[in-house]
This record gives sequence, structure tokens and C-alpha cells, in this order.
Amino acid sequence: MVIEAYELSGNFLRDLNLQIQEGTEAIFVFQDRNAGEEFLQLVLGMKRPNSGILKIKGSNPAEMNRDELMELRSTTGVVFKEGGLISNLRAWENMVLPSLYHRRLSGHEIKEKGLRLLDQFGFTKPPMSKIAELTAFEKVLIGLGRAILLEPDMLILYSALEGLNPSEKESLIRYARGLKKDRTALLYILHSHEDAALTGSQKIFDFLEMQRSM
Amino acid sequence: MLNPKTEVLLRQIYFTGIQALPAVSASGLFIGLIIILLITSLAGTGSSGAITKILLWLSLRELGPFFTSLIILTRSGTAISTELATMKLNGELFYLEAMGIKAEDYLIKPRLTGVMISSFVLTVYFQLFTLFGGLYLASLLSHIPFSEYGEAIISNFSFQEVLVSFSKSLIFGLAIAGFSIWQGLSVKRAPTEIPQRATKAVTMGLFSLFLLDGIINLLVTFLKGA
Repeated sequence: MVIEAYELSGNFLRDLNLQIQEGTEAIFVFQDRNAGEEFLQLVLGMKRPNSGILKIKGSNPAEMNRDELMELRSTTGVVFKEGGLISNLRAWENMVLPSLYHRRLSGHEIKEKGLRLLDQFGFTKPPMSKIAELTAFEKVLIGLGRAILLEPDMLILYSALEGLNPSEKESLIRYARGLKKDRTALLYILHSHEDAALTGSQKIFDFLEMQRSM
Repeated sequence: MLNPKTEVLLRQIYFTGIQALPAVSASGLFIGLIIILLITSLAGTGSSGAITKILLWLSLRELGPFFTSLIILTRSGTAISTELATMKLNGELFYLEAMGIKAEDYLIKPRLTGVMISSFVLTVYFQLFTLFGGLYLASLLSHIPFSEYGEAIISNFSFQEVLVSFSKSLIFGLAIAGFSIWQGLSVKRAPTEIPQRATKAVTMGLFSLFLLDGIINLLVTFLKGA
């Protein structure tokens, strides 16, 4: 299991029960943005639950020390709205930042794989473009490339579809599905049912529905 | 490809150290000239030993580390606090944490180290320009050959003064970077806090320079007397 939660509660989440397996897809629709953010923070071990049990890849983040948490996060790729890029870095520097920092692959491999990803995205601007020169979709693509380069066990698209037009949303979902490893779990944290429907996924956790059904 | 931490360190050295070289070199040269003009107007042009001794003492012990730190504080102190404050308000610290990148590793340590290294190197530059620029002017004014001033430098050169100077440059660099980082990361919500934090970083940095300079000088005087 990638994620197991039993009676998990925080400040905004109440009694959450779920299991997400390797290689599967799950959509979480949170109408309350605070709840979505809390869920992400819990999964990344950035926040401790108020009650209940949460296990990420068999371990409880609440019992991990900072180094272990950083290690956990280094195997989790998160794509934020507009990419969640670092403003003082160029597009390419943003894309390779975590993979170079964590040294999962060699510098040569990161460069080769990164350039291949840009090619697959149809990214036409120079890789060393400034962030301000990119469109919202290009920023999200750089964020996705950054996450994919980490070769994560869990890929989370956190509000990443927001601000994109329908064809860009479909492209992003297609890239995320096509480029992740087979065993990587793909999680969408969304705030609208329209976006959830776009994914075409069957496993949708509607936060309100979940309260009733689980 | 370089590790991102090394990349940040090298960028900091480039912005704080290399880009400040013209300003530091020109300031060092002019200050050397001013000191020589002052000394010669007070003591005359004949005493190469006294001129060299005063210039050496002033540039090594006091002006070198202090003036260089002022340049670093006004250029890089504001830049560091503004950059970090903007990053924090944009939620970029959260993004870094989410990627498993420790802010202290990626943002703080390379900046501290970069400013300290730059402060050290710029101080040496400043001192060389002050000494040689000043003595060159002195040799022109007094018609005493430059080589005679060179000999006076060697005879008056004190390793202890050099050690104090280097220590000051590193400590001042640490203080400037420390206050700038602290202020930058102390923003809470509003963009209007950014210039306020930058101003605070400079004010606190300036105050700390005076304070540290005084403490180090007192300590050196005490140790010499002991």
C-alpha cells in the first residue's frame, strides 16, 4: 500500500478511511481548499494528524525524524498549481532541482532524461527561459517534469489542473499517466467535480460522499 | 551538473564577491589616496616608515574589514533579505519542503558561506588597493622610491594584524548574512513587509558591525595587554 488511513482526522478532515495501492489512480475532490491542503500536508508528513492512523508506504510519518521525512518526500512527486516553481531559478534549473539535490540519478542521466521530457511535452521555449516568460501550462509541465525526474513512488497533482484550458488539462493528465512508472500511484487533489470527470478515473473520493460511504 | 547547494553558493559568491569587485577596488584605491593625503599633510612626506605604518594599520586592522562589510551590507544584505522574503511570501519554502529539500541546506548555509568567503576575499582586495594605491601616491608626492615603501611594509607587517583582519572579515560576513537571512525569512503575509524587512536587515547589520568591531578591538587590546 502507498497510503493507508484509518479514522484519520485533522483540523479540516474528519475520520478519513482509505487505502491506495501501488500503480493505481485516485481522485480526491475537496470542496474546502483547507481540507485539500491538509490532506497533502498529512501525506507529506508536514503535519501530524489530530487522531487516527496514517501510513505512507508502511511507515507512519508522525513517527519519522526530519531526515526520514525528507527521504519520504524525495520519493513523492508533487505538481502544484502553476508548477510550484522557484522564482529565482530558470525553467530547466527548476526541473532538475530536486533530482540533483537528492542525487537519485547521475547528472548525465538527469540531463538526458530532462531534455527528453521537454521534447515529449513539446516544450518549444529555451530550457533556460525565465519563469516569468512561461505560460501557466508550461509552468505546470516544468513542475510535472520535475516530479517525474524524481522517479516517485507517488505522483500527486495538487490543484495542478486549475487555471488551464480543457485541452491543456487533458494533455497534463495524459502526460502524467504516460510518463510515470507502472508502480507509481497517481493521486489528484482537486476542487471541482468537472476536473474529476475529466480524469475519467473510477476511484473518486468525494470528500462529502466519503463522509457518508466510509 | 552541479549540486543545487553548490550552485547557490557559487551564485552568492558571484553576486556578493565578484560583482562587488569594481566598487571595492575603487573605494580601496580612493581611501588609500585620502589617507596618504591626510598623513602627508600632517606629518610631511619624508617619513616613509610612519606613513607605511599608519596606512598598514588603518587598512589592515580597521578600514579593510569594516568598509568592505559596509559595501556588502548595502549591496547583498538587502538583496538576500528581499529575495528570501519574496520566496517565503510566494510559498516557495513550502514547495522546497514538499520536494524534500531542507531550507537550511539549500537557502541558508550556501548564503552564509558565500557571503563569508566573499567578505574575506573582498577585504584582501580592498586592503591591497588601499595599500598599494596609497603608497604609489605617496611615492609620487614625496619622490621617495616605491621600493622604499615596499621595504617599510615588510618591516612593519604583523601577522597578528592580518589574523585580526581576516577574523573580522569572516565574522562581519557571518553577521551580515545572518541578519539578512533572518529578516528575509521573518515576513509573515504582506508584500509591504518586504522593504521593511530589507531596511531592518541593513539597520541591524550596521549596528552589529559597529558592535562586533568594538568587541573584537577590545578583545585584541585585552589580549595584547595580558
